[in-house]
Amino acid sequence: MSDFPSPTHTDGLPTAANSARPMTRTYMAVLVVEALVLLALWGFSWYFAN
Amino acid sequence: MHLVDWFIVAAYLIWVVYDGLKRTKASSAIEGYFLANRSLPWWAVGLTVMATQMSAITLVGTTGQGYADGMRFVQFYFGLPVAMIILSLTLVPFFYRAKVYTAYEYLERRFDVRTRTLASLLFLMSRGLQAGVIIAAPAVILSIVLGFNLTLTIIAIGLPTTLYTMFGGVQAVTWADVKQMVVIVAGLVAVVFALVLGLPEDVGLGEALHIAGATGRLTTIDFQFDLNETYTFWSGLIGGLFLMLGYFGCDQSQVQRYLTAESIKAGRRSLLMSAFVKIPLQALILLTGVLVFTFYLFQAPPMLFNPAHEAEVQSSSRAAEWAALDTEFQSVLDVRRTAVRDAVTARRTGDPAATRVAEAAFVEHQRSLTTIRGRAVSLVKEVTHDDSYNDVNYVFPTFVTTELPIGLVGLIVAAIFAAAMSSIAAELNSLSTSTVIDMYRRHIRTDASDRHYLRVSKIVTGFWGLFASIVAVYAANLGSLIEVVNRFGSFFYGSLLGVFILAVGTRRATSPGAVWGLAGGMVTVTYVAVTSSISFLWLNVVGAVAVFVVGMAISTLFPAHERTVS
Repeated sequence: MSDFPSPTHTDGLPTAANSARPMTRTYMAVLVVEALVLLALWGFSWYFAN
Repeated sequence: MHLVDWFIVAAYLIWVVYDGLKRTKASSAIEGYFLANRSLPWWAVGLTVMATQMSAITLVGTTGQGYADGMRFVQFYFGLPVAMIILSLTLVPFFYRAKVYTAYEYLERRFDVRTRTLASLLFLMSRGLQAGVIIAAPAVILSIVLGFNLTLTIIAIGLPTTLYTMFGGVQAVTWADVKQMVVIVAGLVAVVFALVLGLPEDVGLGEALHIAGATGRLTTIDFQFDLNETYTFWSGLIGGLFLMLGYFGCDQSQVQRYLTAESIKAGRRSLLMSAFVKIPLQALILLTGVLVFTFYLFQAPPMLFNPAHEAEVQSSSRAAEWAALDTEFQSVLDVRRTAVRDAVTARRTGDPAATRVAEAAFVEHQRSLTTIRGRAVSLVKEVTHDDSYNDVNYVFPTFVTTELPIGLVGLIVAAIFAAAMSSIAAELNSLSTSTVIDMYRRHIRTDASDRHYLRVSKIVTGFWGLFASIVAVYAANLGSLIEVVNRFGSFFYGSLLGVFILAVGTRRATSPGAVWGLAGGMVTVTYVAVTSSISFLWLNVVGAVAVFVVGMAISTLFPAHERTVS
């Protein structure tokens, strides 16, 4: 560990210049669809287990 | 297999290789060969991401798991959609903006060359061995079920895959994956239809599923919090989240798929496609296994599904014991068939009490059958001295080859080949990329021409294909080795994920922090795995947290002077 302290490189970290707009609506849709799928799976197992 | 089925499998193999070789011209430079010039549409990348994840063992093993254990394995994927959102917000734009070929190249830009080389070496060691296992596992099953020669089966999977990956590069891999996903999904849907049509005329699908439900096979969600249990809601959501973050964010075999996308948005969309589709698709595969179970409620299943081991026991000194078990199995099977009919009739009467009594009787007979199967498995283990024996992976191929009509058998065997080849192709492609970009171009020949690197890349792809095939021949005879190699992945993903969290999550992390954090994470995961019975999904959480804690501690104790902020 003779090279301490080492430099920190920050290439690629987000800045105002290079930020890419996230797809918020799509992410929300993913979460909603996952919730619905889990609900459907739970309902499916509940229905056929009874 | 019938001649028509052989023809379908042969036509599929020729088609995939021919189409892959056609793409050689599109890969005339190194960026085209490894990244398709970052030009591919999101839907093709999305399909290749899914095809890479779905190996033949996923297809064959998951249906077998549905048959034997039911649908609770689907919980394994509950963390995937959230992981895809996190990756879309973090690593996808980071990698894309940094214009890297490999995920580990990014670690050099953020930390130093040691971190990059260490991460790349971990990937090459783990994935190099796993590529062999991915060939070996389906080859063993297909060779036994179809009566093929094992080495020829390994060659039949490994050679065409190596050829089209070697000459066509990532373009061939991607477009082959698109076709392979179509073959796999079409095959699955066809099997589901065949299974539904295969039920007796007087028994409806709902009635058959109620019978399966009575055994607990349709239970999909288990909310108990138990660190030792792999398939629960919480282990899938939290442990699965870390596993998927590690797999899709730090494993070059997946990172390289979305680096070929035409834009950041296309890369994100390709991952979100899996977020939407993966859980329903896995549920369909598991349901296929459950439907195979319902099929065998009315048809006679074999006592065990691995014919090679059965033959070995029958020719041993304990053949009489086996015959007695088989007789017992057949008589319980007859009783169970009657119990199934009684349960269906009771449900039709609409009397809940009568239905409960009839289904309880059926479940009791089902338990007896499971016990007899367990005794048969023990007998096989004692005779063959194969302690890792498990016939779950043989359920689906045996059903396909013995119960499905001519033509459909060929399609499903082609789908199993497709699932194996799609994963192997991505592995070879990414192993070659990491070897050439992270090792050869970084440490050995730093200033050669693009043409030189392209030639080396093709040779290296061929080398990895040959290496994986040779490993497959040896791995095929060592069942326990397969488990060791698969387990090694859990050691590796969490720790590597920790390094990437240090890289993109904080500006304070330094390169010594990353290197020692990675070492600390690997040691911690190994210690926890050896000294506890914690489920492997949680090892990913342990690894990532350990790397982050050790990495931040080292970075804080030995702070760096920030050098480049632009």
